[in-house]
Amino acid sequence: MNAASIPRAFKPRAGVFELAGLFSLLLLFIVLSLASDAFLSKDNLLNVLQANADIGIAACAGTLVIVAGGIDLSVGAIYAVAGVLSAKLAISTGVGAGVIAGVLAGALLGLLNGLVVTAGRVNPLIATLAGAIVFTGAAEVLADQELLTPTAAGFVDLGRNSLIGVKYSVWLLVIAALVFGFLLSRARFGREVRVVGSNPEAARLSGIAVNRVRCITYVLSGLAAAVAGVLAVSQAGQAQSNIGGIPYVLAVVAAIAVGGTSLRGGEGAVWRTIIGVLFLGLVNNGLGLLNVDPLYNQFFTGLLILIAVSGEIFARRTAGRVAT
Amino acid sequence: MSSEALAPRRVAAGLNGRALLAWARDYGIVVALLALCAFFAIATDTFLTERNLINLAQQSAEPGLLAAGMTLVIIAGEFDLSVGAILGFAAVVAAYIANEAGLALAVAVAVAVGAGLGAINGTIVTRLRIQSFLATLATQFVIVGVAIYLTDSTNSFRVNDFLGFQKFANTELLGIQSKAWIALAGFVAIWAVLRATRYGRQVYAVGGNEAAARVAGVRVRLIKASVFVVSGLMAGLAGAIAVSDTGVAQADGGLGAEFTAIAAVIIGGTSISGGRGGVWRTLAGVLLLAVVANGLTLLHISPTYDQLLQGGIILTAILLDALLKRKASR
Repeated sequence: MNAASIPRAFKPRAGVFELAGLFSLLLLFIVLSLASDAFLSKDNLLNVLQANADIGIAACAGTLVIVAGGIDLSVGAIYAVAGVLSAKLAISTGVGAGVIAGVLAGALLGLLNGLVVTAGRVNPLIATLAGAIVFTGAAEVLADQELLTPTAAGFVDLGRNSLIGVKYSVWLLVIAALVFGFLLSRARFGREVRVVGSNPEAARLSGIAVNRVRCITYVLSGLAAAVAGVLAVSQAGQAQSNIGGIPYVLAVVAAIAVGGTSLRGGEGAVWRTIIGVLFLGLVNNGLGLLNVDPLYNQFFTGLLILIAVSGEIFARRTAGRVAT
Repeated sequence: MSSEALAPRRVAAGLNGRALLAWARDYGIVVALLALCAFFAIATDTFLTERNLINLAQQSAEPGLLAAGMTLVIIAGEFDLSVGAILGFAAVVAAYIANEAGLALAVAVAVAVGAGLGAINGTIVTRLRIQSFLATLATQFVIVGVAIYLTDSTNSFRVNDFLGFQKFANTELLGIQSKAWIALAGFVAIWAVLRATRYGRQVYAVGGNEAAARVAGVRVRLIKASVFVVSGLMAGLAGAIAVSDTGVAQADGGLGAEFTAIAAVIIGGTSISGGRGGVWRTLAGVLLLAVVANGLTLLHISPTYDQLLQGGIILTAILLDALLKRKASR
């Protein structure tokens, strides 16, 4: 209403705020380049990507779950199940069997989450929290309190080998970003995901199979978390039932939220999540280069989540006010 | 509240199927708890002994306090993921004060610090309008970070006069340690507040229908912020108990406890979408989780299977609850 008195050229537009995350990332990048000599090297930047690839892969798929109005708190447990199962089978049966079984198990557990949420009509937070407890239990039973150390060359190569100087895990992150980004922003499925997330009733009335769409997002999330778990185990060359877990879940959700995808559902994008992953990754990397004790990484992550999200909310409110 | 009134109607209508479903929906948690107790009492010689039951009560004290506070938060339609972090923070502060100024002050300061951190959570949620799930996830990180800083990056802090501080949680009263009595007092206090005060009714109103509550003159933001203060206060108390039990405060020692607390509230049957539920339900939920863990140990089932079986029971309870709710409301 007051907006009428502001000259048109000075009206901030929502589009500017859309890119706030990208600007923050660039700013952080510049600050770190100036603050540390070691930051701006190819090796270090590749390190950042590699260290966060497992979080990024699950976060790309998790974005779809959240945009569809759900949340997946079980990704850490699925990561553990897939990692342990693949290690176990890689030792006993074969590398191929291990990798395939690990990834399939993730998709299956994702389907289970999806069914509990849709057919069981349980709130996604509760469903995937309970799922996380059950799956962690499954990982514990599978590992049987052992430290599994798969040594087969084919298995550890997955996590350690490179293509054109870049680790496979980073390539998989790129693929995940492209595939899930395409799915959410360009494909018809993505449009359905957004409608389901913003207004399930309208989605139902317009003929979208709401439950199926929701279910598929959980399957994709489980699948991606499993890929991340298998990669992490092959990189470390060892697996235990306590890998992934709650810290992994929190890192994934934080990356999605910091990127600017609303936890309320209905809107968001995979490129935003990638910005979130890189932002949090750069923060941790920068703190390391500046010799800050890694014990404090989470402290800064927490602060940045608060700043990023409250900035986002403030920006949207301001933009909304001017636009109307 | 209205759902609690369904029970007497069953008596009047006899064993009418629909009323039975409604009754099962409302009191299923109690039936499940009793059934599990009966099962373990028959399956083991050791479950139904005084010593074991006292143990159960004592072990439930810390998770109980967190879950009691969480109940209020969830009824108000919010989440508090930071209670585990507040527990650790308060424990560190309690240990520090205990060394400097003595036991009584240590406990008081731990509780006050917990309430203060809860107030920060409440302010962030209501003023910055960040969803509580995300806001308290972030403050969890920050609180643990500061707690670690307070321990000079060692992550733990030792109480010098352990024997003295032990008295706070481990003094026996009627054969049961004081921490169990403290937790019980916490439950009774929150039960009374929810049941009999205007504030309690306002918490239900805010969680049930925020807009309607606002129109009716409830100060929604103040109520929402206040539930985080209560939750933080309970976590602070739990932190003091944790130090008193072990003599060592661990900065990140409470992490993960928030999820157990949420699980207990949900198993009890308090609605995750707010506005419905009760703290006695949470008490039943806490006891159910404790009984399962305890029973599995007594049955000599390898701890490897603990989590899987516990998770299975939780998942079954949740699915059954969802099913009963649908059937009963049809």
